[in-house]
Order: sequence, then structure tokens, then C-alpha cells
Amino acid sequence: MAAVLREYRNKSVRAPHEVLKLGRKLLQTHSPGALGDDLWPLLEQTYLAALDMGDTALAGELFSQLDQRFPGSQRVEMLQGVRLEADGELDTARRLYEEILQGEESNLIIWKRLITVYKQLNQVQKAIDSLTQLLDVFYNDLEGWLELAALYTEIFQYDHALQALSHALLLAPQNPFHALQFAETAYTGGDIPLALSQFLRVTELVPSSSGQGVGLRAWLGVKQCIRRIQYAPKKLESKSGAPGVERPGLVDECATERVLEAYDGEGVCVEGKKAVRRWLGA
Amino acid sequence: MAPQSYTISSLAYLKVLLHATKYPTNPVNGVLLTTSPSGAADIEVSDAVPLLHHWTSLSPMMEIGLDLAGGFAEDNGLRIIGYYEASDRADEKTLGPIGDRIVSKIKATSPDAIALVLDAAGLSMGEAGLIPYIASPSLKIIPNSFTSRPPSTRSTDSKQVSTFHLAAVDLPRKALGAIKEQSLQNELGDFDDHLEDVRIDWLKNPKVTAAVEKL
Repeated sequence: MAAVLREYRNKSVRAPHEVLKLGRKLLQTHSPGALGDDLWPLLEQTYLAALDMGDTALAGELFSQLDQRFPGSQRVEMLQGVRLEADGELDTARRLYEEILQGEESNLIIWKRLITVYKQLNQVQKAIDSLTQLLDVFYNDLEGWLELAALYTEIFQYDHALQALSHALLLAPQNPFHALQFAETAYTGGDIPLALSQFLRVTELVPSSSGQGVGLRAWLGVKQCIRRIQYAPKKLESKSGAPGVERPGLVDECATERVLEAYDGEGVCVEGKKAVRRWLGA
Repeated sequence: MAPQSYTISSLAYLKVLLHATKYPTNPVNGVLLTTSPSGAADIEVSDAVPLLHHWTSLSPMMEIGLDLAGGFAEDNGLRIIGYYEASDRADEKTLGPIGDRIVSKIKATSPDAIALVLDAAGLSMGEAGLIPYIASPSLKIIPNSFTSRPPSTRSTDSKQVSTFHLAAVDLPRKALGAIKEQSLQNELGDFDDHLEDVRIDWLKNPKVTAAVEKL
């Protein structure tokens, strides 16, 4: 039980339902001394799970234990903020986080919580400003760049979203998922030639055997881009200067083949296959 | 003339609710299907096809999913009558700009197009939990909807606003029960899920169809 929870902590797995069940049991059946070094991380983990599951009574109990052991610590203040968020006291949580950051600007966890609160308060611009400030200090925060891209997408600033994503791609060049997000964002922003080249890049990043997931999405994207290019009344220019593909007909044929391959296996959804075949015109 | 009434079937209602419940921390969206011909006075929203939960603000998979669902509808004697979405924020219940765009696209072929936005707060208060919009002549919200049964008498007033109804009054309670007791949301798959695992039947969701009969 303790090992499972430790593993969840190390891998940042949230699974609140299970954590709450195991954590509660562990705390009930063991004396604090018997849990040793595990005690405080375990209390924190169970506390967060209790908040996720809406068990405010247990959360309150665990919080007072943590607060007594580490009075005035920033970690505990953060935990207090999370509780305010769970109770819907977003403005109070916001003030608390802003206050902590005035004292210690480089507290990454608090920054992230504050940005989450801005998002919940629908203050997208404030969330963007804070993230930009944060990324100035923590350039390597991949998750931050992805989040910034998502925020820009939400307010239809696709060029800015693409810029944020290109930082993510610099930090994790082999990750097909980020490249896919880049391609889908470029498409949404109307830069079809750029989207096409990025969808093709994704197909190179995934193992050729994987016709599903990221690979399938990318091949469908390739197909959709080529359609847009072929049906356009005039030649589609790329805002970013991305070159067009040579021999689009050939690429299109290849995409059709790869998509059909994905539906070759056993047990595939019949209706889904039928709809895709119809869409492909195959 | 605008349709007199729209009735949301148990199946369509359940799918919308399950989709939102399966991905509580993501916005989700999908389309609504009907067997009623264009121009009918009473429209039955008979089914729903869940589309995305992953990147709902990005359009390529949305466009492809719409095309595929449209083809599926045509093959099965149905047509796309509307769009639905649910936010990841409990207090958000207005149709977003993406939804706005998709509804006008649907309206191009179906003038009687509608949109439904999940209202989680309303649902938890025992209401139907859906905010309806009609697309024609211009997109507008229908306030105070889902309050009564379909009218039995026909109004001849052409300016009358369409009314919305659930196929059964106790549908919200039954659907929430199925979620709580059977975790039925785990049996539903959307287009995003299907792209991850092509065995998932996002177009029909047969397990949900089977469950609806036992509600």
C-alpha cells in the first residue's frame, strides 16, 4: 500500500479515488511513528486526494496536522491555497498566491497554481502574462510552453501559439505529440502548407508500425491538408514561408494507404472503418 | 417556419452526459443526429456522436470527425441536426466561438439546426441541465426551456418560439444514477478515443445503446 502511494508520488499520478482509499487506510492502521519518512508526503498526498474527491472533513483534519508540523512554511501555504480553490474561493486563493510570490518570486509551484486560478477565473490574458514571465526564468519548463500555446489558441492567437510550440519542440524535438499539436495549430490558423509539412514530420517521428494514435491522426491531417490545397480556388501561400510539397498526388496516395492500413487489424470498429473508407473515397 | 418542438431522446441525452462525465477536466463536444426530415414541425433528436475531448479548440480533427459523422448519418437514414458541448468549468454554460462556427456550418444544410450546452450547475439542481440554442434565423439562446411536456395543441402563430423537451421527465435522475452506480461513462468512446484505438465504436457506442434500454 505504502509502496503504491510512493510510486504515485514519484510519477505524479493523481488517481484521487484510489489514493484517498489507500491513504486513509494507511493512516488509520499505522501510528505516525511507524510511517517514518513517509508520513508527511503521505499526509500531503492524501490531503490533495481528499480535496479532489470533495472530502472536506478529512482534508481539514490532515491540513491541521501539516500546519502544526510546518507552521508558516510556503509548502503548507500552497496547500492552504489548493483548499481555497477546491472550496471555490478563487479570489482568496489568488490573493494568497500573489502574496507568496511577492516574497519569493522563483517559487515554481506557486506560479503554476496562480496561473491555474487565473484560468479558472477566465482571466486568460493574466494567465498568459504570468506564464510568459515564468518562462523567462524557467525556459526549460516544457509543460509551461505547452500551456502557453493552449492559452493563445483559446484566444485565437495562432501565431503566438505556434511560437510557444516551437520552443516546446526545441526542448523535446523527438516528441511526436508536440509536433502534432504544432501541425493542428497551424491548420487551425489557416497556414495549410505549414500544417502539411508538420503533419508529415509527425509521421516521420512515429514508428512506422504504429498506424494508430498519433500516426493515424497525422496521416488524416496530411490527407485533409492536401484536400484543402487541391480544392482551393487559388494557390495557398504559407504565411510562414513553408514550401509546398512536391507531387502532392503521391503523398495523398501514400496517406490513403496508411490510413487504410490502420483499419486492417482484427476487431476494428466496423462503422468507423466504413465511414473512413467513404471519406477516403476508397 | 421554425419547428414547433425538439425532443431529446434518452439515448442522445445519455451520450452527452456520459461524454462530459468521462472527461470532467476537459471541454468536450460532439454532434446530434435526427431521424426527422428537414421541415418537420416536431423534431426528435434521436442520437448523438461524441467527437473530441483532446484539443477542442483545434480544427483539423473536428472537420474530419464532422465529415465522418455526416457520412455515417447519411448511411443510416439520419442527418446532423446540431452540435453539443460541455465546458470543463462548471459555471460556463454559454456556447463558445468554435460551437458558433460549427452550428452555422450545420445550418447551411439543416436550417433547423440547434446547439446544446451542458449546464452542470443546473443538472445538479435537478434540472435537465441543457441550454438550447436555435440557429435560424440567427443563433439565439432559448431561455426557460425544458420546463414542460410537448404541447398537445398546435399553435398557428408563426412567430412562436420552438420548445425543447426531454423524452422522459425523470431522464436526468436516471442518467446520473447510471453514472454513479455503473460508471457507465467508461463505456462511451469519442472520435479522439477511436483514433487512439480503432476498435472503439464512437459512431454507435453500442454498449451505451444497450444500457439506455435498461435505464
